[in-house]
Amino acid sequence: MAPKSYEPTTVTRAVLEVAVTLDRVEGVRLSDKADVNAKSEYKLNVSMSEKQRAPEELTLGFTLELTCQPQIAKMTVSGTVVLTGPDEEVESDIAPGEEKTPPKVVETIYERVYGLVYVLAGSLKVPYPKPNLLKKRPVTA
Amino acid sequence: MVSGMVWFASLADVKSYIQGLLDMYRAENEKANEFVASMYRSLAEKGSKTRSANTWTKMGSILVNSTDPERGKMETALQLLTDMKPLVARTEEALTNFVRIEDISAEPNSTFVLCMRYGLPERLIVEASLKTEKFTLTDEYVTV
Repeated sequence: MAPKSYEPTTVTRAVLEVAVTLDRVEGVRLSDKADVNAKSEYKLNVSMSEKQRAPEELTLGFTLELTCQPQIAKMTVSGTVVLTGPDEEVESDIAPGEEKTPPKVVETIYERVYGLVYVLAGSLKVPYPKPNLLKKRPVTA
Repeated sequence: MVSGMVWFASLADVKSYIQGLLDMYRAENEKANEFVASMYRSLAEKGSKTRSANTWTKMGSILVNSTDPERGKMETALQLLTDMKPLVARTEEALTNFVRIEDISAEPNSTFVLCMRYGLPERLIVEASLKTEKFTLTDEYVTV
């Protein structure tokens, strides 16, 4: 790992920088009956794991898997996100959100890739995913 | 870096940083040496044997030389040589004794903070990582 120099201007940085880099984008239309205007809901499976941690910097690998319900399309985006900023800001960004909201880092990644999946959905001629995320309700007996 | 702190993820990185510093100081020392030698030769060819009177004027905290720039540069290079010698010697010493630092039993994922003072590695802070568990997340959301 490259050494990080002590520079007052950097150390006092209070804003968290989030850099998202994509490694893979994949979109599949699973049904010929798919239609852009069909009523549907997208489910998003998120998996993230820590790749590297250094003072004021955390690198995470992520995979977002968007599946249309009913199953007429599937889009997968994977890559790396680097969080740079004060450690407390980094921790707050990956902390679980309020009751139904995802961690901020998940929201940020989704915001950054949303334009891409929107275009992909249009190209595949499948319904467009919506821009916001909510935690899926736990299944009750 | 003259004074400040530099963060490292391993002792090997610290050692390689100090080695880099030493290489830089040696190269600067060598350059200053060559410069002084060439200036001496140049002054000898010109036949400038007598040392001129003080050519420096103090303006605030800075000395300014506008009357004899060649001599001014040579004097500055000589001063630089004097300053570089202890830098080279003490950085060499830090590197030679680094083997003792390598015996420190540091916890895995520790961070090493090297404190530099006037260009010399003076202190090393070993900070055990508070975070031992790696972050992972697997969850399911709906788009709304």
